Amino acid sequence: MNGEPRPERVEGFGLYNFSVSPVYRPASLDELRNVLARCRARGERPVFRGAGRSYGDAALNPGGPVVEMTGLAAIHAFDEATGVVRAGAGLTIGELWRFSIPRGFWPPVVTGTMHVSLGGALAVNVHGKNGWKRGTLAEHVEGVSILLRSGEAEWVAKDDLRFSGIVGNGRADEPVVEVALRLKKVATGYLDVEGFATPGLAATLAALDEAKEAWEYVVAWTDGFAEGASLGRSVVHLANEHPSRSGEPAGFSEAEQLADVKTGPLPVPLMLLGLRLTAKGPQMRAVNAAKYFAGKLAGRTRYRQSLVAYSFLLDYLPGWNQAYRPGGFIQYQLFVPKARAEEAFARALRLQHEHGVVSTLAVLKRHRPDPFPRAYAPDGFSLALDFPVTRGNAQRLLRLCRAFDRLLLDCGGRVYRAKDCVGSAERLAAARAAAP
Amino acid sequence: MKRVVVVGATDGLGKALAAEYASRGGWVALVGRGREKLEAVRAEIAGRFPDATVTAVACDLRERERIAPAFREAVASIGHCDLFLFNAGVMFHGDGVTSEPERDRETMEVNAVAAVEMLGYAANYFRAAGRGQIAGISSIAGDRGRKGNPAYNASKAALTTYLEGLRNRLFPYGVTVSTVKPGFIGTKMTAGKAGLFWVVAPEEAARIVADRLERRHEVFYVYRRWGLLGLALRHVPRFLFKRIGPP
Repeated sequence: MNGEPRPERVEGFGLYNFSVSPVYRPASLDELRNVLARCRARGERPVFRGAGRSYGDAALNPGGPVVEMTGLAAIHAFDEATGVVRAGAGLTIGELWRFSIPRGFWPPVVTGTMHVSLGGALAVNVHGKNGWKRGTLAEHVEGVSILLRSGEAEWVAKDDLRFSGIVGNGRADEPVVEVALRLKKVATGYLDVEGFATPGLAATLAALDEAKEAWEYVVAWTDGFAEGASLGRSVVHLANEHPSRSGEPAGFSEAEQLADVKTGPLPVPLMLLGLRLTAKGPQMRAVNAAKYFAGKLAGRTRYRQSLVAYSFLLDYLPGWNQAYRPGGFIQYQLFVPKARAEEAFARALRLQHEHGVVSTLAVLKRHRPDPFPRAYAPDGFSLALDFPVTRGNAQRLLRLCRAFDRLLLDCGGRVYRAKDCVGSAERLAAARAAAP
Repeated sequence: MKRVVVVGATDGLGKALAAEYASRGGWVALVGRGREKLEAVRAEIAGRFPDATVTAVACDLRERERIAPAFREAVASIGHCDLFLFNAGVMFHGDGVTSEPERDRETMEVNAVAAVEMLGYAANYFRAAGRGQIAGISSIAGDRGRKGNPAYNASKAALTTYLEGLRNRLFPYGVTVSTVKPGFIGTKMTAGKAGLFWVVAPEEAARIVADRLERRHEVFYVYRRWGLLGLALRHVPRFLFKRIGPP
């Protein structure tokens, strides 16, 4: 052996995509320089990987090595006056909020899981439930430090022309090693949440659109199994920052944040077992229906919830993606301009039923236009659909994805690189033609 | 959703297998010699099955330095590989009596040596992946050495034995290795040959092979009756086989 890592299986979070790649795990900038020099000497082009939370193939390299950046996770500076934190690209949002919440700050844009690295988040330019109010993550980045081919680290400020080329570029040769992110000052660590059920797709989209100015966070869980007049029935969750009131806890401790993460009376291992037994089966129809009717019966609910509990639903059951082995799952997220959204999403939901493959988890969000060259978010909505991949449904699922591809091409929609993994040649060609 | 690499995909059973997997929806990487012909086959299959993603990687297995890059390029072109299907092979028709050492050497180099090298790369890939499937198209011709084409028999015997070894080696890693002995298939390789029977069209053979690989069968013939014939042939005593054995 010459000290090079042996190839290993590297997976997307959805477990369907994988590559067999040697994985380097540099723990410092010097080690990273060394790794890159060795790769370049061999003519290899590595792919940089953060925490591996991209559902599809964004952090995989079928043709060569992977460089895992999570070793570069130090917080280098924090300015309480401006809220700007400078941290290594491998720092996760989870590590960031644990640092920032005691200081009264919160990341302006967070994903549904906290286990996302800053570098990875920037490489796909993530969005959150506040896509309308705050846009994408890169809109809050003051600048990044990149490691040039020469081995020098260079600062690229947000107004540098090169910055827009870095945002959303998951295949850059010169990796981002440090990110300066402007955090949001929060009055408390809590949100005021309002939940209510909507009977169909039109009502759901209207509710999200009406709420987008008055509410910071706007999201709807949708019952993908519903058909006919109930097509697109949903439970909407809106949230705003909870104001500071004397006598109330501020919620600025980690313990207070985690106290609201409640998984119910069953222990987590038992819930994971339950998920494993039901995630790929017809029982999900009943689970979705139960969730909708529970929301409907509850009426308009209002409650206070910690930022962590509201934001990181995907972390309630650690390792939940393992329930989808061996085939894994894919997520197809359709981004569609507002004017075409209702028609396109109705078609997408019906297409599922026509193909006999129905999403076990569907989520609707409102977005504002993404200003970067590799933009994916329009002034419109997104519909994210999770599909388990099984031996029985694989053929139908692929046909469904191809039908979604055609639907997107037809309505001027887009997909999101963190999720995309089964794009058709036609759609990829269209995306390339539109790329800068 | 299956991602398949087919080596030897420009003709016959390989082409039919590539089309079969494309028809089932998925990603298929074709590996074959003759860049133009390969591209034509790729375009034909992609045109027939628009839901599939079909890629092509040119590789002449007689050029050793191309084997490792071709494996990497084929896998990279479809993202990952679930099934690696080695179908490449040559068979020369001589007069059945005269040995042709240069052609025999080429037969061994393509059917056995290059096969072992490329299958070795696939084996390492799947071992690291912790799952997957390898299938080699061998032949009932490898069950016995015959007077008509000893080098071809030997090359297929080597392939069969190598695949058996890989099967045993990769079993603990969750990787299935299958040996396919198709019998007579109506392809360029068998065209004009006398004395053929139970001939199956490549498309039908491909459908049967894909179905049985789906069920993870390890050693099989396209028609089960070939298995009975193979069993019988393997048990014909040597003294009799050299007198009445098939060419």
